[in-house]
Amino acid sequence: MQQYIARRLLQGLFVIIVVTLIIFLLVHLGGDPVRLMLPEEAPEEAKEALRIRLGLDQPLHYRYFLFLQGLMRGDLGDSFRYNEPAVKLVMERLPTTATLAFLSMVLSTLIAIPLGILAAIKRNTLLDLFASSGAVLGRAMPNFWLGIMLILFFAVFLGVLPVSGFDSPRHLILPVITLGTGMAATVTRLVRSTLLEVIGLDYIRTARAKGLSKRVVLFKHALRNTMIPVITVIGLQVPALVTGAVITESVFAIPGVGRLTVAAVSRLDMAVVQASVLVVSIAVVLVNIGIDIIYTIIDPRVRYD
Amino acid sequence: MKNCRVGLVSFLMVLLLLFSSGLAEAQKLTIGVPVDMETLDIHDHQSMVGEAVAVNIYDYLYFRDKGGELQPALATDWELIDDYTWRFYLREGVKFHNGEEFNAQSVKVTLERVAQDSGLTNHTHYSTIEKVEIIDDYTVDIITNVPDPILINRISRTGSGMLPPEYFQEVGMEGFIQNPIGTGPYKFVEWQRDGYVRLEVFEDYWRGTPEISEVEFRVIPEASTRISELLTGGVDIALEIPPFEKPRIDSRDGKRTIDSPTIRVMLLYVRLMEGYPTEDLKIRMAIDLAIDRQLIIDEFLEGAGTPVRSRLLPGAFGFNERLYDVDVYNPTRAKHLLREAGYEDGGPTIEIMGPHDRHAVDREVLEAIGAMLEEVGFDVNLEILSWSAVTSRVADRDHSEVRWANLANTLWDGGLAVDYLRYERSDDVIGFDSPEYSELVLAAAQNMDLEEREKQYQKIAEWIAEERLMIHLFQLDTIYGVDESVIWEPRVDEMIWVYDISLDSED
Amino acid sequence: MKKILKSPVGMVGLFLTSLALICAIFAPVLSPHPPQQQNITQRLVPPAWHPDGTSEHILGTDYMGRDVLSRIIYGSRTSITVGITAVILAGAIGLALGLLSGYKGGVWDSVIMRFVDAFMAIPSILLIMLLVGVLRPGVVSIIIILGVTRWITYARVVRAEVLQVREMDYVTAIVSLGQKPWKILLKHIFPNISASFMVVATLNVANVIIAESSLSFLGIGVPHHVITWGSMLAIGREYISVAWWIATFPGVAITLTVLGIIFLGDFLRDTFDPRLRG
Repeated sequence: MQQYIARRLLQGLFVIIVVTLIIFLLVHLGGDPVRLMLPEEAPEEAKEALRIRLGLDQPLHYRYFLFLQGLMRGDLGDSFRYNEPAVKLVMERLPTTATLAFLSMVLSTLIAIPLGILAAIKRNTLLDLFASSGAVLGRAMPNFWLGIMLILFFAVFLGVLPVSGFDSPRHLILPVITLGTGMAATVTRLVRSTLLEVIGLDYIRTARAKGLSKRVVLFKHALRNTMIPVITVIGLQVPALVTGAVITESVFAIPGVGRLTVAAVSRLDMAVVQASVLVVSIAVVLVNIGIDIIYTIIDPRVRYD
Repeated sequence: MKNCRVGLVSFLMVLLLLFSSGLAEAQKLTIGVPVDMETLDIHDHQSMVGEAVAVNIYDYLYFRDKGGELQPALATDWELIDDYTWRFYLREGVKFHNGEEFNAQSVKVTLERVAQDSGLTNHTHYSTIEKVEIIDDYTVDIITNVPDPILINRISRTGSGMLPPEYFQEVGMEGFIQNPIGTGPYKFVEWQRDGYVRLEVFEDYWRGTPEISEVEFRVIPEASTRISELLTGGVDIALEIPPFEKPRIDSRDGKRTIDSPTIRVMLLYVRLMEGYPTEDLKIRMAIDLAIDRQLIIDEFLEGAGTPVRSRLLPGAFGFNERLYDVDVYNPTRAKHLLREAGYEDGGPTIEIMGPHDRHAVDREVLEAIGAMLEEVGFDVNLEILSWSAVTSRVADRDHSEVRWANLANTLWDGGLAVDYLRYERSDDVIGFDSPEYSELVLAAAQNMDLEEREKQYQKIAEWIAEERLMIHLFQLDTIYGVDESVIWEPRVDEMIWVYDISLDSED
Repeated sequence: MKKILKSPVGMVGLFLTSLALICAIFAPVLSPHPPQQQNITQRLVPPAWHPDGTSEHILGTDYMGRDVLSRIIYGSRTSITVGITAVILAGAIGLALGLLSGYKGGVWDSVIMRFVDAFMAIPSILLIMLLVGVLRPGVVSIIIILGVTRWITYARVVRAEVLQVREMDYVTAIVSLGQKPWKILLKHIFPNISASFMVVATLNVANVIIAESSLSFLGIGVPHHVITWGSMLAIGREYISVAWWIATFPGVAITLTVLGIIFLGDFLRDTFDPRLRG
C-alpha cells in the first residue's frame, strides 16, 4: 500500500514536470516571451528586467531551470496590470473555482449514475432513447447558452433564484446546474456503455447461468465492476470541468480563476494566464493522485494497476 | 404596574421604530459595471471604470460638473504667476478619511510622484510638471518644465486625486493600495477582484455628508446578466446597456434607461504612408463619404450618437462647431472619387481592423461600415478581433489600412486629440510624415495665449477633416439602465459620482 | 444494413447526420439568400410564422438583416469541416502514439503515458488562452488547437485496446509465428480497436462543434467572416431577449447534428463491438 502511494506520488511529480515542460516550451518557442508577457506600452525597464529574469540570453535548458526555480518559490512573475505576484492572484481565486467544480461534480454524479443504469437495463427502448437524448442535449448545449437560459427562466421570469454572484448557497444553484449538466451527460453515457460491456462479460454470463436472478447479478456483480472505470473517468473530467467553469464564471459573474484568466487575456496580462494554466494543471494532477489513493484504500484490488 | 408594562411596551415600540427607520436611512446603492478596475493606484491605471470608482474616494484640486465645466474643489482659486508657474490656493479644514489634514504637502507628494516616475501609466499626462513648491500650508506653486496651458485640465482628472502625505509616506504605495485613503465622500472598504468594490460613507466630508451610505460596484461582464440583475433588483444602476435592449428595460415597471452623451468618439485611423491605397486622398474621401453615419446611429445605436468630423466635442478646448453634428454621406460622390483615383471597375481592397469586445455594438457598426464601403465599390476585408489581438497587432505594426478606434478625451483638450498623428508619436502606425503638422501641434501645445491656441486647434481639426487624416464617425452616447428609485443625472465624463445620486425611499 | 432499420437509435442517427451533410454539400443550391447579404433596414425580422415575419426569411433575419436559414445552411460547412478535421488530426496523433505506446511498451509507454497524463491535466481552454498571443486567429488555428488538445483520449483508448488484444491467444500465436509487427497491427489489432475508436471519434466531433462555440463566446473563435453554428449561437446570445431566433436556430442545428452523430456512434458500437455481440 505505502509502496503504491509512493509510486503514485513519484509518477505525479513526473507528470507535473512534464506539464511545466509543455507550458514552458509553448511560451518560449511560440515567439518572444517578453512580447507575450508584457504589453507593448510597458516601459523599457520592465521589459529589460523580465528579459533578465527569464534569462533570455541564456540557452533554453538553463531558462527552463530558471523557470522551475521560480515555480518552486511560487514566483511566476508579476501581473502587469495588478502589480502583484501572478501566483498569488491565482491562489486567491482557486477556492471559488474548486467549490463550483466540486459541487457540480457531486450533482452530476448523483443524477448520472441512476440514469445511466436505467438506460443500460432498458437498452434500445424508448426509455433508452429518452435518456440518451437527454444526455446528448446536455452535452450539445454550450455552457454559456444554458447559463443564460437558466437565468432568464429562474431568475427573471420566475424570480425564485438570484441572477449572479457567489455570496450564498442560493447563488450557487444555477451555476452548479450549468456546469454540472455537461458532465452529467458524459457520465450517463459512460455508465450506460460500461454497464453494457460488463453485462456482456463471461463471468456475468456464468453468474446468470448459475441461476442467480437478474437483479442480484446486476447489483452484486455488474454494478461494482462498472463503478471502477466510472470513478476513474470522473477524476479525469476535472480539467473539462475547469474549462466549463471558465465559461460559467463569465456568465454568472463569479470571481474565480476562470474570470481572472479571461480578464487577463483581454488585457494581454499573460503572466497571469501562464500562472493560472500551471497552478490549475498542477492542482488537477494532485486531485487525481488523491482520488487514486483514496480509491486504493476503498478497493484494494486496484492496488497493482 | 399595568401602566408600567404599557410604558415598557411603548418604549420598546418606539425603540423598534427608531431602529427600523435607522435601517431605512442606511441607503445602499449597487452598480453593475462591465469590467473590473485594474488597480487602486490612481497614478497607474487608464480605465474609465477605475476612475469612475476612484472619483468617489479621492478629490481633485478642480472638478468638472455634470456638463464638464471646471469648478473649484480642493483648490478654491488659482492664478498664473508666469508661463511656468501656476499658483493654487487650497481649501482649509479638509480632512482625509484617517483624520489627517489636507494641505500643501499633499499636493506635492501626489503630483511629484506621478510627474517623476515614468513607469506609471498616467505619467505621460503629468510629465510637464517640474516640481511643486510649497508657499505656505495652503498655497502651492506648480512649476512646469515647458509652458503648459492645460495644467488645470491635468489636475482635474484621475491621477491627481489627492493622497494623504503622512500616511502615504509611512506605508508606501504597496501598503497604501491595501487600504487607500482620500478626502472623497466615500471610504474604501473592500475590493474583491473581478467581484466587487465596496465603499462606505465618509461622515466628515467637506462638501457635507452624502445621502447614500453604502456603495457597491459589482463586476458583471455579460451584458445579459447585468440586465437581468437590474430587472430583478440585484443592482440599482447597470452600465453599458446595449442599445437594442432599451425597449426591454423601459417596458418594465419600475425600470428605465437614461441616454447620456459621453466624451468618447468612434473613428477610423487610416495609414497615410506609401504602399497603402489610403495614401491617396481620394480614396480616404471615398471612405468618408461612403459611410451613412445617421443610418448607423438610427439602426444600431437607437439614436444614441451624433455624427462628427473631429474628436473635439462641445466643452473641449479647441471645439470647432462646423465639425460637429454634420453628416457628409454622399455615396454617388464616393463612387466618382474611386473612378477618379483610377479604380474604374471595383475599388481597391482595403482591410478594416477593429475589436468586437470593447463596447456594446462594435461588431455591428464595423460590419455595417464594411457593407457600406462595398456598396460604393471597395473590396473590403473585415478583421473583427478581440481587443487584445488588435492591440498586439498594432504593436507589431502588423495591421491594415484602416483601424477602428473608440477614444475618450479625458483632458478635454485639443492637444490630446491631435497629438497622436505626429510622426514622432505614431511613426509607421499612421505614417504621417509632415514636419509642418508636428510643428503646429507642438506650438499649440505650449501656447499660453489661449485665444490664439484655440484658433490653432480649430485649424488643425479642419486640416484633419479636410485631408481625412483620420476619419471621424460619431460621438457615442452611453445608455444606463436604472431603477426608478434612483434620482440621478449622469455625467458626460462617465464618472459615477455617487455624491450626486440619491434614492427615493418611498419606492 | 438490416440492423439499422431495426434500431430506432440508428435510424435517427443516420437521418440527422445525412441531413447535415446534405446541407453542407449542397449549400449554394439550398440556401434562399447569399449568407453574407446585409439589409440594415430589415434587421431582426422574426421567423415566417410570427405575425411580423415574412416568407422571404423563413427563420427570420439576424442583427445585420441577414437571412438566418441561409447562414445555418452555409454554417454547416465550416462547423462540420472543423469538427471532422479536428477529430481526424486528434485521432491521427492519438492513434500513432497509442499504438506505439501499447505495442512497444517499456520506456516508450512510460514516456508517452506521462505526456498523456500531463495533457490530460491541463484544461484545454486555459491552454488555448495561453496560445492566443502566439497563434493567428483563423479556421486553421482553431482546428489545430482543438485537434492538438484532444489527442489524448484516442491515445488512451487505443493503448488500452492494443494491450488487451496483444494478450489474446491468437495474437500471441501469430507473433510467435514470426509475422511482421506492422502486419499484425494492420490485420489483427486494428480491426479490433476500430469500434471503440469510432465511438470516441463520433463523440469528439460533437464536442469540437460545441467547443468552437465556446471559443466564440470568449471572443477567441473563428474570424468573423467565417460562418459557423457555434459563432452564430455565441454572437446571437447577445440578442436572446429581443430576437430569440438568431441564436436558437443555430443551437437547434448543433443539437440535432450532435444527436445524430452520437446516435450513429452508439449504433455502430452496439452493432460492431465484438464484446457486445450476441
